[in-house]
Amino acid sequence: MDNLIRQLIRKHKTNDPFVISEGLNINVWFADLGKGTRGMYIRQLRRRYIIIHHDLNDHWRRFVCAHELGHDRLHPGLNRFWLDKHTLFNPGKYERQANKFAIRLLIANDPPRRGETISEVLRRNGVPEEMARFYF
Amino acid sequence: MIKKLADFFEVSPDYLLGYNQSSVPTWATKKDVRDFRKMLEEETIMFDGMPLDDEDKEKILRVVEAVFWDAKKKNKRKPIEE
Repeated sequence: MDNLIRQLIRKHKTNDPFVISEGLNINVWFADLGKGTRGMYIRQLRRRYIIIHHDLNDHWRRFVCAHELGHDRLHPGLNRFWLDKHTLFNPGKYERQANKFAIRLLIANDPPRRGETISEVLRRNGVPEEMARFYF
Repeated sequence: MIKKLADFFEVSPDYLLGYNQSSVPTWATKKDVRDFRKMLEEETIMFDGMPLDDEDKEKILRVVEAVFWDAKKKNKRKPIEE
């Protein structure tokens, strides 16, 4: 996974998930997804879409975008439709992988320093701290 | 099947059949609308397994519809003027 992330960052010259998504020809939309859903990934008619709940703050938007990008990169052909609801917190294997991908991507330019806790690294990089347990 | 779909999404069967259909763009061909209905049927099966309340289901369905028409439009060989 770290290799995949390194390649993505090298190719797109940034770890910004929005810029990478655009570079990969994925449409990113903001919409009202209701109470329970933070984000979705949809493949429809050979096109890919990331939908992010418009009520989320910037840090969460960035995280959700990175998480959905994780589905696109890690789980191609597996499912045309990912709905990330409580699954962000109560996840199966694929959601855990997408969370880990998101964290690793977002902290890639500013990795952990000696003696630092994971929460501190996440805070420094604007990643929601609740996600700390998906780091490994 | 249409009746079941309509019940599931709590809309009228007419809505699914395209009468009174606000989300179908004016440029859509008959084939586009057929594809649209087929997509709705497929997505419904998927929705079944998801723990969503009716309001959320409705909102997400709106987004799925919008995504479908956007993708359809982008896939047209000739650009659509609106």
